[in-house]
Amino acid sequence: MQNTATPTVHITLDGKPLEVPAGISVAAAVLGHAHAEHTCKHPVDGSARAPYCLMGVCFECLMEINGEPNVQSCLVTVQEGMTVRRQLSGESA
Amino acid sequence: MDRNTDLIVIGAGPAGLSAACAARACGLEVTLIDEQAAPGGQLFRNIETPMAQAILDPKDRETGLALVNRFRSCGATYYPCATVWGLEPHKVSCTINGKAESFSASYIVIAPGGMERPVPFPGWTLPGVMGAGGADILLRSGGTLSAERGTPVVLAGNGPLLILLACHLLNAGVNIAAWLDTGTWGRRLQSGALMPAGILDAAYLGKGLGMACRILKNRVPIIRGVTGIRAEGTDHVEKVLYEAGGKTHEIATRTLLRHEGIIPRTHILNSLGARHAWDTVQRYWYPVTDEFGHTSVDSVYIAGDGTYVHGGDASLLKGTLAGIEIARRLGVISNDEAHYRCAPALRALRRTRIARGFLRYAFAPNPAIFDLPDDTLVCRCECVTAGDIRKAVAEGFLDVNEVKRVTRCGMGQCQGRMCGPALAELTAAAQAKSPAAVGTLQVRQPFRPVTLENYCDLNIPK
Amino acid sequence: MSTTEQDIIVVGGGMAGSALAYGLAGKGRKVTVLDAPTDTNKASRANVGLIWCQSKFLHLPDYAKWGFISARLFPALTKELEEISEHTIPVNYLGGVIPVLSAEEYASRGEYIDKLREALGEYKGCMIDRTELERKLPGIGWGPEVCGAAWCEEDGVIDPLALLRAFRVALPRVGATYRQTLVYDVQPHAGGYRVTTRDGVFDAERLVLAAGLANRRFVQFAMPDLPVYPDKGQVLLVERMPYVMPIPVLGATQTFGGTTIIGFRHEHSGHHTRVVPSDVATEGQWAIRVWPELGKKRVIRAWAGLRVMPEDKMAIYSHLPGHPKVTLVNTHSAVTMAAAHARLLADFALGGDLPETAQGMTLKRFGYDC
Repeated sequence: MQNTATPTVHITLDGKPLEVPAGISVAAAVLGHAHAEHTCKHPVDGSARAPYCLMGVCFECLMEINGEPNVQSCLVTVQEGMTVRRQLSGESA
Repeated sequence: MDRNTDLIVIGAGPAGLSAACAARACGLEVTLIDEQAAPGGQLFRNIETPMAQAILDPKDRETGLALVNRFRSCGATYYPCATVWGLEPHKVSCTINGKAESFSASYIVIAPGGMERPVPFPGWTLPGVMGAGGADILLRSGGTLSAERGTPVVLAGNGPLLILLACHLLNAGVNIAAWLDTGTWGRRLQSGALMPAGILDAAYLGKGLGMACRILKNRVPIIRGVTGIRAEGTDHVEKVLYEAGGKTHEIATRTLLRHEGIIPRTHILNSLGARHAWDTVQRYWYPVTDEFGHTSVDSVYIAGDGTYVHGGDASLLKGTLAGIEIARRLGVISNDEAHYRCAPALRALRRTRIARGFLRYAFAPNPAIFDLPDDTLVCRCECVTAGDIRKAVAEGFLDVNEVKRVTRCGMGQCQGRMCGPALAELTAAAQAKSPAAVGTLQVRQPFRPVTLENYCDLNIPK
Repeated sequence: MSTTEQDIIVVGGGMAGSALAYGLAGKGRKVTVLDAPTDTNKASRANVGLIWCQSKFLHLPDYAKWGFISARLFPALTKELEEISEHTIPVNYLGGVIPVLSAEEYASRGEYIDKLREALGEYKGCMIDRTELERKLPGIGWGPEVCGAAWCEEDGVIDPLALLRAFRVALPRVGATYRQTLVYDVQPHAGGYRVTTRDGVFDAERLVLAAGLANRRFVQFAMPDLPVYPDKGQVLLVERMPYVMPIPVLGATQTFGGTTIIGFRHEHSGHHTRVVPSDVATEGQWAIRVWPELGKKRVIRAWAGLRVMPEDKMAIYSHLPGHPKVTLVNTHSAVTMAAAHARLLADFALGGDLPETAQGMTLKRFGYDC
């Protein structure tokens, strides 16, 4: 499906390998390519949440990237070998 | 980064890029800082990649690529992937690759652009519900809205950009199950009188009509006079309900895209205490500036849709004007040369503003979109409902900052970016006042989270 | 508007004014509170919410005692406010700690506590070592330098905005009137006092001035200035973490919502409330030494507020020179003292005496005849 002209990078999402176009955001990779149902459980009410704006406004795309929790994943570009985890425990830490 | 430069531009959208180019053309030393990995902003996001080019119209693609190429070769120092979290006159603090940095300059142009007006409704926190602009970003990132192609999506809202986004969806082969129109006909009729001025920008008008025709040709079912939109589902949207023609209707969908127009991003300027004004028709705050984007904070300029939403063409012009004006104020170019350099952009901007005047009315947000049931979650960060806000107002907390303090609405990580407009509308409606009369949320720096370590490392005097 | 039948007007509806108005309404008086909207300085909206008695005011033993008296009145007051306002007020009466980072600091704080105990006769606190600190707050990974803490069982922490909201909701329910307006001027008038506001004039026989730093202009009909100055504090707010701090840590206090407020600065630099990053960063570094986990957490905002600081640090409860029917309340500890203000000051504002412990807290100590 990907345009052959676009270089790709390999990341892992919750331990599973994923190949996505280079230059896109982690949130776009998880939502638009891996089609994760949701990306975090809200620390206050435990509800399932997913990115709403994808441009740094809504803070609903917080994920753990390379071991660092609560990163606004729509503002981080995918990099080769990156490990991404959805925050599903409902705890922010 | 201790050397002072002439100008720091924040943001690499149309306005930021053209400001940097114009200032460089005047010979200034320019640094541009942007949060994305590549130049383009939202309008021209990922423009250098085939996946974004595939869904853009040829004209937009051409304009965007020309601008980005011009910027790439203009000689400005460029820092992509930089999160700006602090700004004082002459100083910008940001995080680049996990490291805190600060930059200083004689002038700062912020080009934050616009954002979709966030409008809460029941179920809007369910995964599968997104801003239409967010969905557009997914498409430009080579992604799809769902795992299986052809799964129908529902569009809801009002605004000129929704037409463009719908065309992008059609370009990407997305099946639009319904378009729920929330605009008001009263306002659209008012816009008629301003329509003839649109002829001043015939190309733009023609483009809009062309896009509208495409949508009609694709037989997208358009439902008028929609109210009471809500999404339902367990951990994901499964269906959308709405009122139209006095009845409740239901559509099964896994994707609901809402768009209620674009508003300026005023966060940074608010944190500086800059003066803003309220637009009674578009119902948003915009910074008070002169024609060159000079804000009420002396060395800080703003360009692009952040000044007022006039669209991408106007943003290019606004950026150009800000860049030239700063060269003039620095004494690098004379008043006469500045006048000469600015004249074409000033003329074009004035024409564009008049030509776009009708859009202000034609796509005015319907205040009824904020007429929310009490149990609607308004503040996504702190889980505060419309009922919580109304209760606080009934107890005598009358301005948005008071309501924020007692309900926590707007106290979360996004600092009210997502709930601020609705908080103001609800607080005002409960007192039968205009949102302009209930204050604006106080924004505090850092306006994006930064680790305590980074914050301290950068700010401890060495 | 003229409302001469008012018994008493309270100028200022922050923590001090609300608490005293609540007490006055309890005496069956007709009370009107006039409070400014939020675009002016509001110390009550910018604080951490500590009910803090320990390790201070050795030089002012009565004031130290006054804090303990207030802390002991808190549980019954908050319970009553919760019932009347129908709002919960998050609060813990579990003590408080001041972590120490060196043997010298441990020793000097210990000495101070010994002297305080001697001065007060009773003091329910002591130095605790690191093991005991870990036992009291097991959820915090203390930094390697932390060698213990000053501990006091009578300290506590309350959600200050919830307390303020409860007062505000309770006031009309106990018969007081709360009115948001802007007070422009206060003057003697026809044997009583006239308050000129944006929304008209209000007259009353008696007056309470509880407007924080604004008291400096409202007292000018009786005296040129007050011995009170703006004491600037600056804090950093760190993102939400799991709640691990039921016992508050001074200087890096976790709120009931899970965020942490860092800062303990005092500056006398006029009325500006700009945050100076290099100032707060110093406390940020201290907080990381105390609780290293904070270092990787995100600062989500910073703000500054102005404490209402009497020149000798002790609260002022006083009539104005020549105006026995005007009562002044000025204190930088309006949260800690809220219970004392609500329960013990109403008689004084109505012409009676101050409680014994507070009798030295009038303007007489600054040489005024009142």
